[in-house]
Amino acid sequence: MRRVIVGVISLCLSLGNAGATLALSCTAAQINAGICREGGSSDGSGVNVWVDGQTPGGSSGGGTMQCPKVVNGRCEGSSPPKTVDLPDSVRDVARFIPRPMTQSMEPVGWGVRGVPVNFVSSARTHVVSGTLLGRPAEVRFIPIRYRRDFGDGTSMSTRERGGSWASLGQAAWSATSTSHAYGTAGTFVVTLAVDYVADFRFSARSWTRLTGTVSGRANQLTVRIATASTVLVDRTCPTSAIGCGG
Amino acid sequence: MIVRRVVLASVVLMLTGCLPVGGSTPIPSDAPAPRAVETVPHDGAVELAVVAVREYLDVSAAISATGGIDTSAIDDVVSEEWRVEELAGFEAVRELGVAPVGAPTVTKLEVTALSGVSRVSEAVVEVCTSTTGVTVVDEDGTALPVEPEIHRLTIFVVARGDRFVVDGVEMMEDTTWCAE
Repeated sequence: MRRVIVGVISLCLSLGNAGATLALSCTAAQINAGICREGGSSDGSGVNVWVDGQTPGGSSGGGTMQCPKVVNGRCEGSSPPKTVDLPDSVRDVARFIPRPMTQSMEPVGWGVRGVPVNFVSSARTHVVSGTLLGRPAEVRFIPIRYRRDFGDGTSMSTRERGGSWASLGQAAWSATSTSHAYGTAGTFVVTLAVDYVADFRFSARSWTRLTGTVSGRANQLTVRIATASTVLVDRTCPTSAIGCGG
Repeated sequence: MIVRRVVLASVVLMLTGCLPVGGSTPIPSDAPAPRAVETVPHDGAVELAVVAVREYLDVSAAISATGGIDTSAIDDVVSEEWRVEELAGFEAVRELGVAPVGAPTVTKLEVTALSGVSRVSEAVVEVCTSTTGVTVVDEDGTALPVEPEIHRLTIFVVARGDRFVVDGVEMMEDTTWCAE
């Protein structure tokens, strides 16, 4: 955690930025009791409550708040210069959440035993904007790993998000870096988790790589795998050849 | 006095003779040795983080329901650092003469960050809870008119042994995500 000294002036400027996400550091017991508040009376029940467990009449005296505002768990608005943490870990920017992503498959919802089914993820590098410490900030999420559980006891971890057979220039039913051939018939639920590394910057500054990874989960897919038998016919089926069935 | 000076001089001489060859000079410090960062395998870390958060919420609710006096059970589900905050939290609730009875319901939960690639040292879990099933009572056991609320919590967990424990809780003002 890198620390920089921030003067009163810059702190006041940052607090003037509307839209900062307010976060109060409280325990579950305080939250459930309804006493995790920014300050002041919680309701008409006569329960006066204060940030961080400070009770009225405590050392601050007469219910005067020592900490008027807590952002990211740290007191702001007091004087004089104080330390503020700049993010260098994904934990510090936990409120920046990767965009929802999806996964899809070819063919849609079904497959044939022993034949590759192709899975594709929509997760790409993207930037999420927001505010941190009251300042406009951006987090860039870069996918580094796609972890698929195919629901049949096998899983796969790849660096590729996958592509459709057409976009890859491959024939349908061919194996790709993100395909899977089921060994048995049945219905399976496919899950996908994507691990991102994250870069951070305050607006118009250079990106800083944060330590750690952020994980996101995609929609589940249900795939029905059937068995197939080969039948010889006298010509292609669209011409209603003998042996093509009903 | 002479004896003491001789001893001191001997100590200084012995220390100067202990300088490493070609290495950096160690700087003595009173600070305790940093604790080794504990980690769990990446595979299964999400599940462990979820378990840790649910255990924490359940244990906290159970302690509160019995008056928040015997807090020993919280030790197993929080870090040493966060334990201090927990004890202060229980005390703050006790001093107000109120007690939440009943457990909050988790309405949404998502592990949003894992720190580490092959092994994970900490994780961030976003949680939405509803206090619909929680009643806040005063010292006489009379229910206070506290409206049920939806809370959005960011819960930080760190590895301890082969599991996670809670290392921080923040309540977010913006609960929009809970309704999505």
